[in-house]
Amino acid sequence: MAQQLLPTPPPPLDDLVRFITSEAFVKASIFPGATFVAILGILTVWYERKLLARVMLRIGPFHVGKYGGWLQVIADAVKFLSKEYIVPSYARRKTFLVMPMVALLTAALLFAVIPFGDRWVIYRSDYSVLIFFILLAVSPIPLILAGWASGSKYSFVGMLRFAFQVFAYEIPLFLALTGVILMARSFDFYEIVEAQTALPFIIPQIIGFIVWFIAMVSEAERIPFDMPTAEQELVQGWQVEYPASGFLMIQLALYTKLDALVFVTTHLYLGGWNGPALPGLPQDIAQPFWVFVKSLLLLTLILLFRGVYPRITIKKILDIGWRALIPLSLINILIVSLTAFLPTLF
Amino acid sequence: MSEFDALIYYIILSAILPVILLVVNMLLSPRKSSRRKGLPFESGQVPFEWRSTSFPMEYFPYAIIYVAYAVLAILVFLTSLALVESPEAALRVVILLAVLSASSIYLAFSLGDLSQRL
Repeated sequence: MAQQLLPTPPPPLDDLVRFITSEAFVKASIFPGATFVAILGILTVWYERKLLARVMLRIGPFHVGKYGGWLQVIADAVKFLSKEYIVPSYARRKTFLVMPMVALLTAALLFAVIPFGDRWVIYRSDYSVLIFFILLAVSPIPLILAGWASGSKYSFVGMLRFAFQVFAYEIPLFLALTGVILMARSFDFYEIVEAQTALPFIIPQIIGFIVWFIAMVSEAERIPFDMPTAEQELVQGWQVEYPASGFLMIQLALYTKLDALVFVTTHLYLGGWNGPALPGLPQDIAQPFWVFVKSLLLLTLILLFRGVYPRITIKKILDIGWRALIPLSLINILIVSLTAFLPTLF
Repeated sequence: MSEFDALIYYIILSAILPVILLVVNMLLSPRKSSRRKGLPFESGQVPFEWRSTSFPMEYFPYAIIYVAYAVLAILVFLTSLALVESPEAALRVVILLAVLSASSIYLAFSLGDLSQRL
């Protein structure tokens, strides 16, 4: 009936409509894709500001937008876009301009392999965890180059600290991941989530979860591990020279990376989209719902750190990374291999 | 091909987004360059020369330890993967992991005495 009422568009337009409504384009542009990632970054900033305000007994963003000042974040983005893009005279101009864009690209690409349910994934691969980890390992490089290209003392010191911190926390992250892969015996997010239908991996691998969680907070440069961008001592560290849209892109990249890490933690340790069935909701909606609920709990915990903990010194950050997390992650793999392969051991 | 479609569209879209942000910024922003704007940020002070002086390199020993540990992490990773393929080697892998854990705990205690300033 609807087809009769609506006039069919002429052939070139018809193709365009078919392309826009095709499943591949909808996935890439709307739900697990570009629009979702952009809105998620903006919402995370708003949520953090409101949450921190509640922690400090303030109201937070209030005036712009009817509900909880939600338009404030968009107003901030527009203001960033209308500022002059100043390139410092000591900076290496091309690297300085390109690196925030590369940072945003690598952070957004992290979402290409993260599933949100049986249907909702941009690219399904047997090695999706490995692809995710490779992209995650690449993502600090544009940030380090951005700090180096600024040609300022503050950004140079921040860049050095960032490089040391990334060095220290990449290995525990990798080793904690090994425990999960060993227990699920797969590189696929789908099979890892499937292996947790009975028991989420957080229970048998509590040590691994603690290691992964601390390393993840450090990788996302959140307080208490935000020594590279220390606001009071280093005035934003390696980001200090970035004006206007450069700063916007870097912030968006960092928040996108945080969100991606939170979703992946949900899949690796909290059982992904496994949850009690919701009456009346189809599976395609219930699965993302459980992912969001678990991720929101985790995100709230990480954002609360900023209101609760003081920043720790760079020496302590490196000591925790090298002297506590690496032995703990090795012990975790030992326990996992003992428990998972006990029948075949002797 | 169809499984790659969404990935290709997504890569194109996420590459276009930063370009759009930069172009919109260039269109909306005023452009008036002056010598003062180009100076690096130094808390309001006049910037002093620093690139000719050497930078004190702290925590450099950790960067060297990183090389050893990175190789070790890849070794552990590959060994664990081999365990998935052939479970009969489990005993040997467990012994290897036990030795590695014990030695990393020993290293963790002795790293505290290492001087981090060169």
